[in-house]
Parts: sequence; C-alpha cells; structure tokens
Amino acid sequence: MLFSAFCNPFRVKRGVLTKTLLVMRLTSILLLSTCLHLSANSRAQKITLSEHHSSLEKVFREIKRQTGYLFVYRDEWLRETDKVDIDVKESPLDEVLSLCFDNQPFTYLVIDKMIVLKQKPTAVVTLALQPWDIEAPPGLIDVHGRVTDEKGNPISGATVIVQGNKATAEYISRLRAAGVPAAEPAARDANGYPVATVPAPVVASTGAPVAVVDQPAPHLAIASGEPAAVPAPLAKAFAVEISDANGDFFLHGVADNATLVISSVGYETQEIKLNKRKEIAVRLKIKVTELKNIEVTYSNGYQVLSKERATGSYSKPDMEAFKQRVSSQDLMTRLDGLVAGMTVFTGPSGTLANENGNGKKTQSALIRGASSIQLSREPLYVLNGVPVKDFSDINPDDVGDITVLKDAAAAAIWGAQAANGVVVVVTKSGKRDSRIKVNYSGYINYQGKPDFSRASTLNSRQYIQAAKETFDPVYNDYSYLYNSYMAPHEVILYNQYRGLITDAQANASLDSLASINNLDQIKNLWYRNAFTTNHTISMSGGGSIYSFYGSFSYTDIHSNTPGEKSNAYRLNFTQDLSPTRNIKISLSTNLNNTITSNKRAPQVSNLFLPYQLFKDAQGHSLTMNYLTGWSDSLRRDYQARSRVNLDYNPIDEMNYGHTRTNNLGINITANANIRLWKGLSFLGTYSFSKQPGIYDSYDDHRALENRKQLVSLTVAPTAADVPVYLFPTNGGSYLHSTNDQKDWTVRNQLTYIANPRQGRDDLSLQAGQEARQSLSTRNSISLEGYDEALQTYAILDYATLSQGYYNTVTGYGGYYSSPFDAQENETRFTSYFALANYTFDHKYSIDLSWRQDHSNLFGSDQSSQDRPIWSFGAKWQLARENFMKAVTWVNDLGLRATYGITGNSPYVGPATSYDVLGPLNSYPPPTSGPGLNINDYANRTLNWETTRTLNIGIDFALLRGRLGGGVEYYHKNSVDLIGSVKRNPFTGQSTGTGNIGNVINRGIELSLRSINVQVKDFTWSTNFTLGWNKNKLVSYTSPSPYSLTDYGKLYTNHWIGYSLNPVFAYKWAGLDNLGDPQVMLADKTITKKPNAVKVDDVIYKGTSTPVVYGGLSNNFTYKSFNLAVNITYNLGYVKRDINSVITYGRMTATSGWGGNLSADFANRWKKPGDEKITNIPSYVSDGYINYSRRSLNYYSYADINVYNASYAKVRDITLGYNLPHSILRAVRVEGVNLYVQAANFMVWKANKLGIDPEFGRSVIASNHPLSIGANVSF
Amino acid sequence: MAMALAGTLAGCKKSFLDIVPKRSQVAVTTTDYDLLMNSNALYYYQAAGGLREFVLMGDEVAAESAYFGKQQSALAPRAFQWQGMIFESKDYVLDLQNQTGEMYTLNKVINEVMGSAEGSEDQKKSIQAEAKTRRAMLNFLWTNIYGKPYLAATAGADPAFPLILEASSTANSFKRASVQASYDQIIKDLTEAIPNLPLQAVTPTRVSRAAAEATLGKVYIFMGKYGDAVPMMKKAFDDVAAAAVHARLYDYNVELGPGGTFLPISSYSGPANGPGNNFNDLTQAVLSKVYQGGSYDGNGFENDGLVLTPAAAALFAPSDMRLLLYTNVDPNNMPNSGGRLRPYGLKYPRFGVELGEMYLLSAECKARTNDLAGAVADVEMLRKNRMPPADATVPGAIAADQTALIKFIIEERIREFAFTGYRWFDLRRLSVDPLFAGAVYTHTLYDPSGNTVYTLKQPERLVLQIPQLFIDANPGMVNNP
Repeated sequence: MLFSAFCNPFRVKRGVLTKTLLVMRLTSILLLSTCLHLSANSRAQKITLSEHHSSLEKVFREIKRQTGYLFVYRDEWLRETDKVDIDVKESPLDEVLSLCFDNQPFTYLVIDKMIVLKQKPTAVVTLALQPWDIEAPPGLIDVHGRVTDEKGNPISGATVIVQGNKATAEYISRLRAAGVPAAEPAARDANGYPVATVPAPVVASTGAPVAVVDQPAPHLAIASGEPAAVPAPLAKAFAVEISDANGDFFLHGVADNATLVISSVGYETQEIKLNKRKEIAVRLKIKVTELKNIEVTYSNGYQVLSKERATGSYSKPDMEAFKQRVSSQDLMTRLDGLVAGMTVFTGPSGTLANENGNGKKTQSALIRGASSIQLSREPLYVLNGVPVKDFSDINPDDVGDITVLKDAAAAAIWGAQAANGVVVVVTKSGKRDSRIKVNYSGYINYQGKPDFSRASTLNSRQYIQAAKETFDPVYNDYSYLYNSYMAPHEVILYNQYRGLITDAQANASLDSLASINNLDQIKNLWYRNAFTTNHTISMSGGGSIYSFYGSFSYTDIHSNTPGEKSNAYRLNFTQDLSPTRNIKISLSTNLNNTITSNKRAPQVSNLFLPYQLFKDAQGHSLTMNYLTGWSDSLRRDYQARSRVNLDYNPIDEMNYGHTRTNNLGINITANANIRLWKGLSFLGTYSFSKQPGIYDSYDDHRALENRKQLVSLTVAPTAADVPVYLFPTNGGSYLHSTNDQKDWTVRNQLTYIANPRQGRDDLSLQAGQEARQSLSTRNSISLEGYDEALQTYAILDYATLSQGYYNTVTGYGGYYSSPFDAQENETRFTSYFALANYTFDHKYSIDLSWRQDHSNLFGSDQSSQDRPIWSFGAKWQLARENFMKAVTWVNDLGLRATYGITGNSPYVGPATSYDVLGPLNSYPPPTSGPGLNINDYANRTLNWETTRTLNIGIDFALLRGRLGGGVEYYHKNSVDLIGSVKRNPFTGQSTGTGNIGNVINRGIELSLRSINVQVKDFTWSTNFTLGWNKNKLVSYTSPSPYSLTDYGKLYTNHWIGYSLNPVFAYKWAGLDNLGDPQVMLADKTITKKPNAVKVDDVIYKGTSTPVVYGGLSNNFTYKSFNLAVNITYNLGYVKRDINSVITYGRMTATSGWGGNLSADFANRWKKPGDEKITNIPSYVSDGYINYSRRSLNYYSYADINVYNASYAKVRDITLGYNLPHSILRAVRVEGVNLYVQAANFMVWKANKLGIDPEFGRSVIASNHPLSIGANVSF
Repeated sequence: MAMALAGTLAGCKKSFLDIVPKRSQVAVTTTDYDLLMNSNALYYYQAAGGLREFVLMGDEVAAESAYFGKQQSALAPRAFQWQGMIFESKDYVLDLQNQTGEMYTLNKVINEVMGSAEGSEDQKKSIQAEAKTRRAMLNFLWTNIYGKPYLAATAGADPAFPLILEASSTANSFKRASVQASYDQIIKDLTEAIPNLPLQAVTPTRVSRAAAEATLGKVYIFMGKYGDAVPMMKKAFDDVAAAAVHARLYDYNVELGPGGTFLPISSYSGPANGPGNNFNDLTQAVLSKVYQGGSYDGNGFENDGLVLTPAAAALFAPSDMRLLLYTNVDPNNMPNSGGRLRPYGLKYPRFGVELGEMYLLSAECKARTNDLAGAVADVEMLRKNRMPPADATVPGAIAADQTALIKFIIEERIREFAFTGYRWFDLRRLSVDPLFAGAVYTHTLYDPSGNTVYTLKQPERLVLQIPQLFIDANPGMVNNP
C-alpha cells in the first residue's frame, strides 16, 4: 500500500536545534502521544469566547490563552478557511472546538495538551488511471525501493524524502489531469482508508512540546500507528513517501539524478543518489542508543513500566551479547557479567540441580550479596509472569526480554520469595501486522577434551621415586595388608622387602613402570571431543487480530564421556489474539523433551596411578584386579569358593550397565486482558506445567559391584563346597524411577489506568489475588536379578537380607537397598497484592506495592504469616524541568529512591508450632514394627526472614545519547535471619532453628553504555557494568562451643562482624626441623602442637564471594563485520587452595581411580634444612605420630594457601559477518549472519599460582570452547 | 470463569493451605502416641548411644596399641585412661544428646497422651506408664554416670543430673538434682507405672510389667536396698512367666554345639548367627535395648583394639561356651602375640532388661539377704545355659559363704556382660560396698615396646564430668571435679 503526502517547500526556523535532536524529540513526543488516549471528550476546561468574523488564527490564540492548549496545523490550510462567529460562556473546550470547526475543512485531535488539526477525509476517489499508467516525462523516472534493516527485515513507515526534484510540478498537473489527486493525495492505511496527515509540532530544545500558532511547522505523516521521523534537510525536500508494511515505496516522476533521504525511527538516516536507477534497496542501520532511550521497558512480571518512570532498581542485560553467547545453553550462564549487581557462579561448583532429581541444572546466581545464611540465596525465577524452578526448559533463542529486579520497589511485588531478587524472562511473541517471517539459527560449540594440566600430579618417574621414598614396610606390616588394595608398584616393593625378588629385579620392574605414561590412553579411551549443536527454526507473523511466534529447536550435547548421549527437543508456540478491541488473549505453549543416556565409563583422570595402561601394545584391554580392593590371594580364594569370576577389566566393564532418562515438560501459560470500562481492565494469568520424567538404570550381574555383592552373599566354606547363593546370579540391578513436577498458578487482577489533570498525570492502580501450587513427586523401584529383555526379576527376602549373614565367602554380607521409595513435596501459596503508580506532570513519579503471602507451612499457625510486604519508590525526572532546558548536553536525568521490605519464607519444618512426627524408615524393617519419630520440634518463636532495602539511583543519557547509564546505591538490612541456633542441650536438641541475627549488604552499581566512535562505516560501542558489594554479618546468635574453636572458625560460612563466606586461616610460621607445620598464635608464639590454636589465633583473609564484579563488552562494527568482546571480572575476594598433599599413611591407600598425588608432593620436606626451601610438610608413615605430634591442618588451612582470587576473563569473543544484500536478493533470503566465537581467555589474574579461580585445581572440561553459527532469516 | 475461580479460592483459603505433607503428621490420637513409643530411637542405637563409652571404662578390658586409638578421635583414649575431661567444649556429645532427645519424646508422651483423642483410658495410662518406665531408666542411667554412688547419708546433697520433666525445645533453665531426688523420681515413675503396664508387651521392644519391676529391683540393689529388691525381682519373674510369650535363655550348649543355630563360627564375626550378630534377636530380652558395639563407627567411642584382660579371661572356665564369642586372632589375621582375647561375636550388646541379668540380680539380692540357696539356684540357672551342666554348679565352698557367693555372682556378671559397659556401673556401686573396699582398678595398653598402665583414681573418677557442651550452655552449673 502506498502512503504519500506531497507538499510545498516549507520553512523551518533554524538554528535552535540540531537536526538529529529534532528527530529524536519528535519521535519521542509522538510515541508518547500515541500512547495516550486520543479521545476528545470530558475536557474540563471552560472557555468564554466572543468572536465575530474573526480568523481561526485569532480564535486559536484566544483559546490557547485561556486553556494553555496548543494548536498544530499547517499555515497554508488556514488561508482557505472561513471566518468564524462564536459566542460562548463557560463552555467546555470540546464544545467550543466543534463550533469552531463546524464548517471548516478540518477536524481535530486532542493529543496531550495539543489540538492537532486534521483535514477532513475526502471521499474515496475511484481513479481512472493509476499513477504508473502515466508515462513519466524525460529526465523523470518511477522508482521502486525497499527499506530493510541490516538483517533484511522490512521497515514499514520509513520516510523517503526526494531532494532536488524541481520538474515535478508539471508532472503532477499531468497526473491531476488524468484524475489522480496528486496535489494532496490522501495517504491511505492498510485498509485503503485515508489517514490523517498532520503537521508535526515544533519542539523546543528540551521538555514538553511547544507548538507555536503563528509558526509554520514541518510536515510529518502518521501512518498505521507507525510514526515517521522527519529528517534533516527538509528545506530542500520536495516529496515525502512512506514505506509500506513490506518496506516498499514507490516514487513517481522524480528526477533521475535526485537524492533520496531515507529515515526511520531508531535507524540511521541514509542518503542515496538515484543515478537513474529505478530499483533501489535501502538498508538502514540501527541507531543503538536512541532506540534504547526510547523503547526500554521493564517487566516485573505483573506490569510493564517504562524506564523513564520506573522508580525501582531494574537491570536489563545486553540482549545482543546474551544471544551471541552460544557456549552455554544455560540462561544464567549467558547473563554472566551482563547485569550490574548480579554474580553468576560459573564453573562446576556453581551448579544447582533441581531437587526433584530429574537432572535439570542451572548455574547459581547471587543478586546484591548474600542476605541469608540457611535459606536459599538464589533469586526467584519468573517465566512469562509465573515463578518457575529454573530456566532449564527454555531455549535461549526464544527469550525476548530479561529484566532483573534488585530492590524492594522492583521485587516486593513477589512478596515472601523476593528477598534475593527476581529474574524475569519473557519469551518472544509475534508482532501484529507483520508479514510471516521465518528464522533459522544454529551453531556448533566445540569443547574438545578436558585439560588435566591445572591439576598437576606426579608423573610416573616422580611417582615411583616418591613411592620408594615413602615405603615403610615396618609400620605398614605386610601381614596387616593381606586383604587390602595394593597397587602394582607396592607389590614389587613388598616382594623386594620380603626377599621374594632381588633388588635388581625390583629396580628393573620399578624402572619399567616409571617409564610408562598412561595420560594418552586416558585421554583417548575415557574421553572424546565434546561438542554441542543447536538448531532453532522459528516463525512469526501476525495480522490485526492474531499474531504468533513458534519455534522448534534441537540440541545435541555430545559430552566428553564416551557412551553419553543427550538430546533435547523443544517446541514453543505463542499466540496473541484480540477478537475485539477490548479483549486480548495470549497463550504460550511449550513442550520439551530431553533424552539422555550413558554407559559406565569410569571417571579416570591424571589422579590415577600414572603408569597403569588400559590396553597393551596389541590393543587388548588389560585387567586390573587389584582395583577390586582385594589382595591377589584373597581374591583367588573368594573366586574359588564362590565360583564367581572376580577379574576386573574397566574397558569391558563400561558396557555392563547403562542409565537412561527421559524428561518431558509441558507448560501452558495464558494471559487475558479484558477492558471493562474506561481505564478499568481485568487481567488474568493462568499457568499450568507438568514435567514427568523417567530414570532407568541397569547394571548387569557381570558388573564388578554386583559380582562383589554376590560373593558377599555366597555361602561356601571351602572351594569344595557347592556354593549357596543368597543373591540372584543372573540378570542385574534395575532402578526405575519416575519423577514429576506439577505446578499451577492462577492470578486475577484488576487494573485501572487514568490520566488525571487533563492527561498531564498518569495513574495506574492494580489489585489482585494469586494462588499457586507446586507439587513434586518421585517414586523409585529397585529390583535385583532383573532381565531387561524378559522383564523378569527375582523376589528377595528383604527382611532377612537386611539383617546380614556372617558366614559368607567374604565373612559378612547383607543387602540394604529399599525396594521402593517415594517422595512428595507440595507447597502452596495464596497471596493478595496491590500496586499503585502515579506520575505527576510527567516529572514526578511514585510507586507503591503491597503483598501478603500465606503458605502451607505445616504445623504452623497461619497468623504467624501475617507479615505484609511492601515498598515505596519515587522518581524525579530532572531533565524535564525548565531549568534544565539550557543544559543541552543532558538528554535525560532522573533521580530515584525506594524503600521497602521483601521476605524470604522458610521451608516447611522450622517454624512449626507443634512437634512434627514422621515415620520410621521402613527399611531395614524396624524390630518394633511401624512407628513414629519426632522430626521437627515445636518452635513457636520463629519469624520470617525480612530484608529492608533502601535504593537510591540516578539515570542519565548525555551527549545526544552517546553516553547513557545509571548509578545506584543500596543498603539492604536482612533481619531475623533463619538459621541454626544453639539450644540448651538438656532440652534434647543441641541446635534448633531460630532467628539468628542480621546481615547488612551495602553496595554501588554502575552501568554505562557509550558509543565511542560512530563514523560512516564504523561503530564502536561499549557496555560496562560494575557491582560493588559490602556484606557484613552484624549480629548473630550465641555461637556453639564448636564454632568457638579454630576448626569451627575455619569451616564456618559466617562470622560475626565479617562478610558471609569469610575465609579464615592459620598464620603460617614455616616448617620445623621435622618438617612439621607450625603456626603463629596471636601472642606471637609459634607452635605445632595439635589443639594448641585457639579461636582468636585464626586470622581473617577475606571473603570468598567477589566484592567487585561485572563485565565490559566492546562492540565493533565495520561495514558488514561485527566484533564483540565480552570481559567479565571478579575482584576483591580470596579462595583457599587446598592442596591435597598426603603426608602420612600409605601413599596409595586409596582404591578406585585415585592413587596419584599433587605434583607438590615431590617438593615436600625430606631432610633437616629443607624447611628453609619448602612449605610442604614431611611425610610420616605412622598415622598416630602424624596425629599426635603435629596437625596437617596447620598447613592446609594456613594463610599461605589462601590466594587472591581476583581475575578478569574474556568470557567470549565473537566475530560476525552479515552477508551482502546483493547476494541475499539473488537467493531470496532476507538476512544471513555468520559468526565464530571463542570463549574463556584469562586476561588477568591476581594470583601467581597459575590457578584459574573459576575452576581451582579441578580439571577443566574445556579450555577454550569454540563456536561457529549462523542466523538466517527468510 | 476466572473471577469465579478467584472467588472459590478465596473462599476456601484455609483448606487450600491446610495440607498435610507426606511423611509428616502431628500427634493427635492415642495411636499416634502409641506409635511414638515404637520409635526405634528408644531401643535401637545404630550409630551411637547405648553404653559405648563405658565399655572402655570397665576393668575387664585392656587394649592393644596396634589398633587402639588409631582413629582421629581422642574420646576413646580419654575414656580408657579414665581422664577427668572426656568431652572438651568442642566435642560433639552424640550419646548424651541422643538420650536427652529420647527424654523429650518420653516427656511429650507422659504429659500429652492422657489428652489424646480416640483411645481408651486404659490404653492412655498404659502408654504413659511405658514412657514413665523409660524415663526412670534414663534417669537411673544419668544418676549413675554423673552422680556419686548412692549413699543414703549423702545422697540428699550429692548433685546428679537435672531432672527433665517437660518437653520444650526452648527451655533454658536446668539445675542439677540431688542423687536422692533423682532416685525418688525414678522410684516414683516406676511405682506409678507398674500397675498400668501390660503383662505381655506387644514386642520386647515395648515395656512390660516385668521389665519395670526388674528395673525397680535393680534400682533398689544399686541403692543397697536389697530387702526391697528381693520381692520386686520375684514379681518380675512371676510376670515374665505369666506373659503368654516370654523371654527365655538360649542354651549355649545346644546353640553352639554341633548343628547349633549360632553356627558356623566365622573367622570374621564369631558365631555367625548368634544374638551378638543380630540386633533383631530378642529371645533373651525382657525389654530389648541394643546398641552398635562393634568396630569403629565414626561417631566417637570406637572400641577397636580392646581385649579381655588376662585376669578377666582367667575367670572363665575353659568349657565356658561364652569364650566362643572371643578370638585370639588379631584383625590382621595373625594370632595375638600375648594370647589375649578380643570379642568378635558381640557386635550388638544389649542393655535393656535381659533375662540373664535378672537371674544375677535376683541371685545377688538373695545372697545379700542371706538366702544363699536361692541365690545359688538363680546363678546356676544362668550358668547351666552357658556351659556344660557339669561345670555349671557353684563350688560348694563358695555356695556356703555369703561373701564368696556375692563375689562369685559379681564375677558371673563379668563373664556374662564383659564388653557391654555393665562392669563400669558395678565398679561404682561396689566402691561404696565394704565387701569390695580397697579394690584398685587398672587399664593396660599393650605395646611391643612397653606397656602403659593407667590406674582409676577413686573416688573422683568414678563420677564423670557432665560434658562441657552442657555446662557451657548453663552458666552457673557446677560440674563434677
């Protein structure tokens, strides 16, 4: 469809404004205007007017004087108007206006405080000829163009201005002659109806719009709700065209050398010289900062607030960085460093598993410091307005918007669960009135094999050397070890000691072991290259009453463990329907299925004996019978008597068992919005989700553990006796477990929106009720002797087996697994809430929220939960004040402050008013038969944890939006912390749950966005976030005696007067002349005596939670290339490097996949004098001496083993390329974006130990994951 | 529809939240209290509890340095050496904590069951009587750990353990009661309980009338009131017999003889199927309470490395079948160099009311009240079930001599109850018995490079200090020296 508006050249008063600014202002005003009610009723202003035969201009001037309303029009229109006669007294504005315009060719619109004149629609003209039927004169051409964004999506409503087109007047007259109303053709909307063409108001430098009656205004078109920006060189412009819904525009009879100026809201203006081309493609670049300034909104899950008026502390991540971060499918991991004030605990230690046991995991996060000791510190996760357990079911490609709620004003609406902050995710939905768009995105993320080098261990030569040095056959008498694990090198050493082999033989054997290195075999047999692939196809589109977004994705996680599979399929379909003007319904449906399986690959790493190969030179897999934990003679005896083969071959073993999981997730969320009366609407949110899952695990009777179980339950006094098996000899162990998670939420609310004081103020009121239920269940059945094919199993005598047998081959055997296990956990909430927002004069805003939650805390008195949660917030939009108008470099400035409380509700149990009883474990069967125990003791004195938060913030946008951001300060006082309190032990409990104290979090957050360079083909922009958190445990219950010891202090996660998660350490005083660790006490004496250190001798080294943290993203765009570098940093914290140096006992006493030691062991104290060069304690074989003469903890927990964990890392670096439009046109594709990404590069770290604080000394699964991906839109 | 739903939810708010989670309930009915008395915390001490620490403190035990005290816990060596402070402030006092936890349950039942719903008055009284009996047993134990041995003259002033009569998790005011007050409460509870108790308990883990009577008899003996004990023990025996299904003594001659049910003898755990290896074997129990007395369990008092002293071993006749519960082979499968015996068929010692002890208690109070024939009959009743009948008779010279007979009965207690902790409580009460005056008790730690001998310091170390954790929580409470 074509919209056009021709006009004469017009004048602009120049010099006041810069051109760009003008565009921005116009746009924002119009956006504002279109949001408001365009109705002309109920204007309270009374007007008294008596004019006779006056010009409209004069009447306007008078009305303006009396009411302050401004008139907007084009001055040439008034020339054709009739004179006015009017005589009214105390009449409403509406009435006066309709009198004025009664016989005029105008109607009017009241927008805000403006009265915008509008030409009366002319009748629809049936054209005799279409414009293109008329041949263009020489030198003039008809042009078809298409406006798209950089990705090739059409831009509708873009303004196309033709410059230097003087010859057209004659052509227009020819068009007119042909019956085409070319002079002032009415623009038409999508349905063919003419639309208003209104002049845009002239705007003063800042603040509210001021249209001046006697001043001609530039020309602007509004079409189908999409505002068009009027670009700069208007004076020279001749014709203006607006692109249609497909981005197409047509120009008729323009000079073939004319220049087109194309602009659209949020895009860079572009000039194109026609050069006789009739087909042109225009690709507009997104104007980053301006777009954000205009369109940012915050969703707290209950309402959407514009950034401008929101009083609370909301943060939004850079969604572009979020989308690009494909090295993880986990939403929280992708947010690392993107949100000021939120720490995401990356790495293996930060993983949080679903309690339900369905294997779903997410990374743990902390918003604004820890404010609880015993209860969860995790934020509340909200998906499409409904709390969820985690985000594991969401495909990151479907995420449309993320808002993080940090202070009370933002989060308090979530009530008793909001104290830790809230992460609100909204998935994508279709746009109305947009054509159908298909999008494909896919990537492969390659992780390779793990890197063992961080956890360095002894190599074979060092290992054999150390084994010889520490061999103590006197203390570790061979006869004591007759039934113990003994590694091959120890067998050689004992054989040598016992004189079974000569020294030469022993040395030769040991030397050959020392020359073997098994690391290659470990890497090749037990690991494979890991990679993740993901493909998402999405489709969206919409008409005027219906729109949709649908996606299907497939994720294949190919882990580094052989035999493991993990496939996820996700289907997501979101529909929006507005059957009438007053009803809006949206329905989001989500289906996902995750299927995983694995075999029994052992977790072998470089911690295993370094000389033990898994395959011989011929490629045969090797048996390692010593790993059964039995000596050779004992194993042979057991084998002979039980007649069960007891060889152990790890490679064969891998196929003796498997696990499969199949998790399904169904999630349906419906939102209804029904307009009841004027500003009053009903909103409903209804969500249901169900996540059934199955876990199947099977281990064949050939598996070593099952063979050992069988032998332990075999009666055969001698090898000659026929063995009696008390346990099935065939089939295998089978565990079948089903889990389910069923949640629903019902929320009903009423909202009232009004614009009091003639629209100068905004009011929004909401009140509602909510009910929620979450039910998780898990049942498992465990069978023995199970045959997978026949599905048969053995019936066991559980009662007898559980009591054990004392006359079996191994001396004792029993079977203790429970055949059936069930768990169920149900939580319910009912809540009432209310919200109020008021904005006065577009400058002063206040927000209020209130909420009351009740939950099913069993055994507690409901009235104890009557603790409403509330917040108050205010904001002053300073930049809108008159006195700020002169400060032209400040485009936006807002001050805000909030205060309120949020809660952290205890789990079921600690707050009971009665003793809560639970059943005896039914397995092993209790002698007495069924019975009850007291599980939770009555505790009538507990309060809910409450956090009081004060937040002060400044938002700003400077230098025409080139620099924007915000600074915030917060003070969070969490009182009545729930935790373990000391009880008088005579009561029967040493500890109970009580209110233990309060913790204060203070902090500053900074977020900055800047466009550093913006020239023709090159843009460099930066996003920076910084959070500083100071956390302090202010008061605490009287500590337990244990916590007042050195151990208690070392192992605690809290200490009064310090931040939570403090790290305490012994003050290191070197080794003594026996290589024993010594520490310095507070009184400066040096000791090594166990138990000599008192609590005050242990010193504080810092906190293990980052104090300063955030991210720095730099984006470089050059033509079609884009480079994004995301850095995250964590500063001001420490970690303990627990160096697992074994310094007593047998060096290889552990069976299984251990046995090797930290490489530091080679540097231990060996002889007097070594204490000058090493801190690693000496080795003492006698455990009693080790324990009575010294304390190894003095070394392990010494301050020398606490390191500064600060670091900065390039989390990822991404290079993207957009395929040129010329190629895309040929293949009928709108946009293709290709990218490569690499992750995890340490930029700087404070410690000199070579430790990556994210991983410590653990093995890193992948050093630098590498991704390649593509986004294609059709 | 949504509005209607909202209305419904608001209307039924209470019932919506009023759900009982699976595996949880509050005590309402008499049956609930009845099931609380089935709590295995009252009779089965799987990980810790029972008389573990007192096994280390009897004089019948010695230790081998190769195995003893090798775990990283100082509690066992401290107890073995009869040190004053066994628990430091930082030590976790699992056993006493479990016991005070039991006391909470018992007080809850005693104070609440009469108001419970549905049950008959008799049922309620019976459950309350059970709880009172168990409370008396706990108080009897505590008084004999933390109070001085009973002497009527000083008992009123000697401090014992606090008397805890209410179930409250937030109570914070506890004062040590006197030994006399403790015994008064014990006798009161038992006396009140006995008439309401059933002759036949549902299982031996529940309290029967005989169990309470035998307990009261034992209490009298520990108070030196032998005259009161004699009729009480008689009643107990009568009531054991009156129960339809009652405890009986195993005849070791049969069970450990050829084809016996305790066989085979395992090199790992002695008589594989004997009651010492089966916590569920309630045959000899009038009231079953059993604890884990085996090797290291990770919870404090491990008794790895304990052996029978040669002197105690010498008390056994060679034909005594109870010797089959011991081995002279060390855990490393090598014979003990000193030929000393370690118990390996005694994983589950019992300390409720054992029929065997009832015979010995009855014998003792009869001997003390000069009914020597009755005493001999009782002690021989036990002995003939433990060894060939020919060797079971009490030698004539002893049977005719009151003092010798009493000492013989005490020795029989060692033979029957070595490694159960019983001996410690006998040491205490005998310390105020003129018959045993002047006895010196020692512990030997055997070591190839030289033995260490520890001597029990009397009378101070006969009374344990209340664990420091408990003292710290109660400012002003005076501990034992």
